[in-house]
Amino acid sequence: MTTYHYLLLLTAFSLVLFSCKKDKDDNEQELITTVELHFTGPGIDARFKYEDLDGPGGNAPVIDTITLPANTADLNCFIHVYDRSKNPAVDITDEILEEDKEHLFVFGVSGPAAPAIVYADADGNGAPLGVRTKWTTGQMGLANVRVTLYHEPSDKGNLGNPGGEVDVDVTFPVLVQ
Amino acid sequence: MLKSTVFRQWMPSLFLVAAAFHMAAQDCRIPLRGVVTDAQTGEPLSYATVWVHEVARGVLSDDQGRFLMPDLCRGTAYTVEVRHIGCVHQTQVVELTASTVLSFALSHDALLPQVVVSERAFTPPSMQAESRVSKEDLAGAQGLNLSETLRRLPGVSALQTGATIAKPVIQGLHSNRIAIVQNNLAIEGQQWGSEHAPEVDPFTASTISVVKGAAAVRYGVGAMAGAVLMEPGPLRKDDGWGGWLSIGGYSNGRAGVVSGSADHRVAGTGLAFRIQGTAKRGGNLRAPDYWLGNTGLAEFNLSGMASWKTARWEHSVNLSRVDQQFGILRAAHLGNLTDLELAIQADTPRNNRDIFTYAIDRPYQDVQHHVAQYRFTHLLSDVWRIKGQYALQYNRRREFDVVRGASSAAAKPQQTFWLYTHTVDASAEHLPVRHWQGGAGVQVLYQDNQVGRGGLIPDFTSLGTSVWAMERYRRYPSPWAFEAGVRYDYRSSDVAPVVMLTPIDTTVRFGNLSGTVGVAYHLGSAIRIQLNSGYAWRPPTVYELFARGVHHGTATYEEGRSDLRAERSWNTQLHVEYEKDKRQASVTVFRNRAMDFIYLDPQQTFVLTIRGAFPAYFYAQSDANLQGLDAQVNWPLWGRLALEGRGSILRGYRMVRDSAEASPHPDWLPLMPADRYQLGLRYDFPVGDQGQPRFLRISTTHILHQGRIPEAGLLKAAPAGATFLTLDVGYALTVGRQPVELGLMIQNLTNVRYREYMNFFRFFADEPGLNAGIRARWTFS
Repeated sequence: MTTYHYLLLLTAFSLVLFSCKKDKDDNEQELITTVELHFTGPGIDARFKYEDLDGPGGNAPVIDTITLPANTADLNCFIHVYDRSKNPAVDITDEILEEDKEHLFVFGVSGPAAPAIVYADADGNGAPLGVRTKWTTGQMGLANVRVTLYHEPSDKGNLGNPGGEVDVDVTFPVLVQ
Repeated sequence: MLKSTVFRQWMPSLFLVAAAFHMAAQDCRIPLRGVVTDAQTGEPLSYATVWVHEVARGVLSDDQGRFLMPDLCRGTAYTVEVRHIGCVHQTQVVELTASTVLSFALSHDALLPQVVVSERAFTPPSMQAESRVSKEDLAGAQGLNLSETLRRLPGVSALQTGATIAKPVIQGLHSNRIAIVQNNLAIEGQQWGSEHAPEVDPFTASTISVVKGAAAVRYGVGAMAGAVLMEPGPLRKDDGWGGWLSIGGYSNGRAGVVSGSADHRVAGTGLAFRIQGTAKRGGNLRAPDYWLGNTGLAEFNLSGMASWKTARWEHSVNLSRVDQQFGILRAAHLGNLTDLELAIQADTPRNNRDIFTYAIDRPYQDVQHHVAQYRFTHLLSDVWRIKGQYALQYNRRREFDVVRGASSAAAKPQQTFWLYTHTVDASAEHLPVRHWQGGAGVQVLYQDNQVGRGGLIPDFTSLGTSVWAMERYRRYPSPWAFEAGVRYDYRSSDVAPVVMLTPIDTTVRFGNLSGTVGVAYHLGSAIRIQLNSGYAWRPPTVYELFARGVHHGTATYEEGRSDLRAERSWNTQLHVEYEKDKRQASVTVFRNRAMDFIYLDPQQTFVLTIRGAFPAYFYAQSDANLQGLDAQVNWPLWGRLALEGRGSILRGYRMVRDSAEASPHPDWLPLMPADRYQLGLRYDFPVGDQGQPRFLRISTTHILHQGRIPEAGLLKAAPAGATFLTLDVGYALTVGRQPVELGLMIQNLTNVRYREYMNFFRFFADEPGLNAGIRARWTFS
């Protein structure tokens, strides 16, 4: 074999390696683009969303104002979490329900018209999950509701600091009228 | 005075140890010194082989023709043979007294039928400050990663992401500002990432050294602040089989490593080859108070080299693969800023699985690096040679994040990068012609970087071309030597960044000159003074230009700027070295003035995402200065006891403007290594009957608190300083006819709890505690 032959061999080898383009779908991020609160109950059937389709940065997220009737009990809230950057959109709620012990929604309220929120579901261990909640409103006015989704929380008994890591942390403005 | 107190406290115990080991009746500590010169010109001959037959040991002469072989016996007759390429061999029988200095004047043999290709003699030692990891430190670091191996050199530290992922830092700079050159090839991986360790196997190298300062003329634009050079040992010179086997075990992480090499030269031909492999496995590391959950690693590396030599040609082929999996501390995986704040407040890591396991769980990295390399050297004449090289590198990096088990992402990595790099090098080099020695060459580089869907950086292809020339002048016996080099690089990249879900094709082009000048002065035979000044540059990386996303390790939102200019720097190094007998000391003073230095600039704003608000960092440029001092000393104190010291001081700041109108004022650069020094005592036991080295060394490393940090930004928190002890023992012997080296190393001997400013995981967990390692290495020949 001469130098020339070696070079030829190596070039051939490199072309083989080089020409096999990679399957980019081998790769998948878990992106949450949308958190949607679906309210049903007396006099209401409405959806409010917090949506950031292009992910962090770029366009600012779209945030709906949650509008609820005043002095109403038994407002059922069901949280949907989607990845709408993919086609078709991925409904992450199903994954949360499937792994209910590894997830926890925590609700924080503030403002003069803050609604009262209680858990209406539980995981396989009887600890709170928070996909379903019951909301009760009082007087008319403004409030803020912060929704936090923890993944792999280590202590569901401590809602202030359940451990794990935060997958969702969004704050909705609320109008009670 | 403190030193001498420590000294007195240590002395008695060391004497006891010494007495226990010292049993030799004969004095076998006499060095043989000498000088090899060219009989015709009187010039010193470097890289002449000096072989002492009775002890079967050899040394090479240095660039002044000097050689020193330690630890021979007084009053014994030795046969000393000196060889140099193209020269008549000389043999002399000597009986040693304390003051023996031999001189050999070798003459060229006009009748010698062939010239043997020599790699070394053509490459004169650089006039840049260069430090080499000593053989003993290299053996002691066996099984540790590259950065850990290099840390013993002054001015070199590590930028870490946990204990397993570390990148070398030279005089404060790292990643795309330094090059890692293995077997004459700059390793091309995803070096822009601070958590991307270099994809190399330190076991493949028989020498590892660090070049400080602008090394771009020799090693390309990646080497604007220095280079790490890893050279494999030469292939077998004698017919038949040889090789080595090395095993090691480490208490922390219950890690094991085995590496071996089989070398063969086919009898009667010029064909020699080597097959080398390394396997390494470790589980969770332990900090003094808890296990570091998910810090295991697995590594499997394989390489093969073959070379075919004739009188005037040498062809060599090298194939290698490195395959590494690194677990990433679970506690360091963050959702958002609140998580980071809670992690910083917590004393012990949050979400930590405080148990030992070998299992590597999400999050982890899986990295492969393949190299196929062909080189040739052709001797045109006694003076000129040409060299050529083609190399293909394939790098695949996959990062697996914590995801919902039920999601479709659970079967896949979250980030994948495929990088193909082709390089072609050609050069012509010459030995001294009228006292000038040097060469010139060209390089062409083509890169194709593909990124999995939704990746952190866009796809791109790059084409680079470079031309360079370098010459060095020395006329013996004048004590002066001069060096100058120049290089031009041009790089053009086609990038497809995705802006607001739409890919936009862009071409970015950069071209610039690099240059270096150096002067060396030899003061007597012991002192060498070198002054080197270099101008170097680098194009901004694709990440710096087009990044846009949340960096989960630090809970920051990072955004690139596509209008970044090339970064340039003037780097001046003054290096003074003293070496006489076993006394050795060196000091390097440097100043690196960087223009348009690229860095992450904290913004006043937060970026709102569905995970919450993240502090924003945008890439920015301004002028910066890095200056400091590296020093090292190895000094015999008393009998067999020697002092070893090392220290590094670094100050890095940049000029910032608070507003467009305001005049710039200096602010510290983030992530600059804190000042550190190391002080050790080394005791040399009497050498073995074959002259094998045996020693014990205890050293203390003190890292100061880094108080010089930028005013703004999260990187504010710098941990307190730390002091820890390291013990090293090396003991070489002969079992049967095979040399065996045994070693013991204990890091963090007193199990000190500390955190390192240069480790990103300082927010989450302590550094690993005590780690005891044992190693053995058999050499077969």
